[in-house]
Amino acid sequence: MVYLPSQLIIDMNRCTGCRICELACSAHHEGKFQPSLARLKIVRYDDIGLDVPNVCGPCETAPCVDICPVYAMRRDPITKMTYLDDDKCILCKSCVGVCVNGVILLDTVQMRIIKCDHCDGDPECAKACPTGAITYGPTASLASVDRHGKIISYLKEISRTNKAEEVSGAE
Amino acid sequence: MARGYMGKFLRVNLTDGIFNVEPLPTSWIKDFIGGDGFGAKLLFTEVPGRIDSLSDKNKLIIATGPITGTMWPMSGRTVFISKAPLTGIWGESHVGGFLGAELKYAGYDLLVIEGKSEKPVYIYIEDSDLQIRDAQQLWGLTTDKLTGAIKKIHQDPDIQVAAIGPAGERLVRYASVMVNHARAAGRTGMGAVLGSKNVKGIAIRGHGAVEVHDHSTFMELAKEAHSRVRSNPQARQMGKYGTWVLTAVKQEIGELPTYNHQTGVFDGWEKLSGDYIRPRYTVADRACFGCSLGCKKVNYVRDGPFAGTLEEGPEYEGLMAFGSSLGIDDYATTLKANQICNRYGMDIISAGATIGFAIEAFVKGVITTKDTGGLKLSWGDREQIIDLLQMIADRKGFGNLLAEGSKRAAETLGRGTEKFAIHVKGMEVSGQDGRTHRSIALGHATGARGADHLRSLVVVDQLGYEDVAASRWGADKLPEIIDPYTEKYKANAVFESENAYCIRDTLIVCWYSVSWPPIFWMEDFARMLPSVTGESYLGKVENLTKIAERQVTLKRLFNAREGITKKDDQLPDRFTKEPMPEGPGKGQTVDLAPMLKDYYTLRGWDLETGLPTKETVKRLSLEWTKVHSE
Repeated sequence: MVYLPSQLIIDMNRCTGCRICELACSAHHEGKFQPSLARLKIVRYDDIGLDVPNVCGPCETAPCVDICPVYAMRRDPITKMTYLDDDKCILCKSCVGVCVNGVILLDTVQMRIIKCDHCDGDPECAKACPTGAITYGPTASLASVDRHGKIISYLKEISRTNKAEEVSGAE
Repeated sequence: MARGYMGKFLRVNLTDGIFNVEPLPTSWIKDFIGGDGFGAKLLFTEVPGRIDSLSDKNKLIIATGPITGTMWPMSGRTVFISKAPLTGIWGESHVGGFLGAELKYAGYDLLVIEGKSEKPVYIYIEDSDLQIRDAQQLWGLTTDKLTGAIKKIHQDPDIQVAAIGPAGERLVRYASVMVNHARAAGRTGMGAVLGSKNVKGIAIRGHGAVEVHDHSTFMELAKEAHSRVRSNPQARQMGKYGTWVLTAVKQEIGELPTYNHQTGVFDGWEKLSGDYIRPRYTVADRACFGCSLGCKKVNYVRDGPFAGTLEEGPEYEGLMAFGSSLGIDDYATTLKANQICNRYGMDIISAGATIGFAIEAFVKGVITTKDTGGLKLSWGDREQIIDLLQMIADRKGFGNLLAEGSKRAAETLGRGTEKFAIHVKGMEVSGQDGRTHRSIALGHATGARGADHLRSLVVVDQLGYEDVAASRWGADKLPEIIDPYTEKYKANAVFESENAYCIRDTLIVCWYSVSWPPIFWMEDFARMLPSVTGESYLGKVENLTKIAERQVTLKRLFNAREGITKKDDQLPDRFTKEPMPEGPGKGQTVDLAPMLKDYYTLRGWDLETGLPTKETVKRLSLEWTKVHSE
């Protein structure tokens, strides 16, 4: 088998915002249904009908690794995925604050950092996604311009009709 | 406590400004399961008969079921229950979105709102942080602005908000409660109940978990259920076109309500069909919580008088109510109407039907510009209809009268306008026609909340699912049971569908996957429920059937307390006396009496009065209702 470094790839055009991925994630890792402890997050913009899946990676640089004061976060040089070593973690929350996707969390009940680990190479979120908005595979298998076509067409349409206030709901 | 439940319900008393957390009575689970059932039990016990729906004695219940917030497909639904302002009888309205799951994550199965606040407020629930907050600055906002404002105040975009708009504040009889901007708990006027209590919105944020009895078995069943939805061809169509697929189907069988239900075929139907709309208007597909079907469409109008309109929806019912029913063959108008209904918080079905009533009365010369305040009403006048809808939301001029619903408006206008008010028990008829779909005639006549298409609409006859009908009801009842033009066996189909839908509404799962397309039925729920709750009693279809029968009869007893009897189980003369003028069902009328007789017999209700017999009340363990009946 050919080994290809894989990442979670999102396609905003396809995301319907159903949050099944959050359910599947918490069901797998916590044994219960608790989206607040999911390792990924769907951000829903109801006013413009846009849903954005925020998942761990792929990141060009790894701020969570760079900021960790005790070297508890490390990065796989081939897959570029980052992993947390719970034994070293001192719960300083630096990684929580620095994560650009906002998917590293502090569980204040059990006092631990919650972070995606790609389910050891077989992510539940990608398996559960009904539309293919989250897939797991080699990076660059899909050009980002295709993946973000939804928001790009929105922006074009909004500027064309010059109704920006009405569309965004801004005052 | 059985699993799947949070085991608590939350009570807000607005008069005293206090919250109360109470344990969920365990006996309710076997008797009622959840959702609708809990609501019926609570409303019957706690709200006395014959009170004014808009008084402080009425209560509003928001209920969830045991699978709300889990991974079962389409389990994100919530129900609002109250005595209905539109009809004065049993009122309930289900809504998708994310509110119900959030309520459970916050730790509560039900929320009961009672009393009345002196000043405008909104209710804020974040886990155990419970607040009644001032909303004077928010009063008057449209639902989308209110949702945004509350999220901003609490600095949390993940708050789920149930909002009423200006129509709810002004007590429009069919005001809705809006969730996630465009999901409406539309029918029966739940928004007016909140408005009467001075509650502008309910904001919920939860961080907790829903746990089931046997996690791994449940997950297996849930994943299998999801793949059944994903591989179902009709579900895939729904994912692409939503309920717009129905326009073509209805036109084909002559059941597309047109010109206020005068006929069942509409010349301009093609412009209201999914094939036409999707490529021209749709910009995004969306879904409610935990749904792998995704029938919600976000649409954008690029040109014409309503250019710049960006809004989710409308469903088939909206296409009917502001399209064919008003003689409009333009999708953009229905989208604009849907936007006004969403933002101001109104039920699009009742709003469209009430406008249709006014237009027909005007066109036929029964009412004049003296009644309408100078408006010259006519079919298909897009801009005027949109203006009139806005006037209803604002309760301005003629709109003030139409805000009362078609039944009350007809009573005020008199002069025989009653025959243009197409309603049952005060609720406007939805987008079906009993003449060309006989089972819905019975459903409309007997529905607990009035002319209802969601509690007992048989789909297998209308859309010709012969194999489904044979497996559910026996091959011996074919072909009559799926023949839309005969009364025979229709009571059986309505009875059994209503029972299954009752279980659907207690769990709570969506219409789409149970009612249509027919993917899940009683046996699927019986297989799944023990793994969620740990109650083996819920694992048998006959027990679920009994729970469903109990529920239908309990709602009937609720309505009986308000004075409903057999005399109210009637249809507008339009369906029983005026033959369908054209189309495939030309010449058809409804003969209700034999279907009613069969239905009452199956339900164990008295054939003369239409009320549950003593034996039925005893068989369903509903003797306790006597204490609360006068």
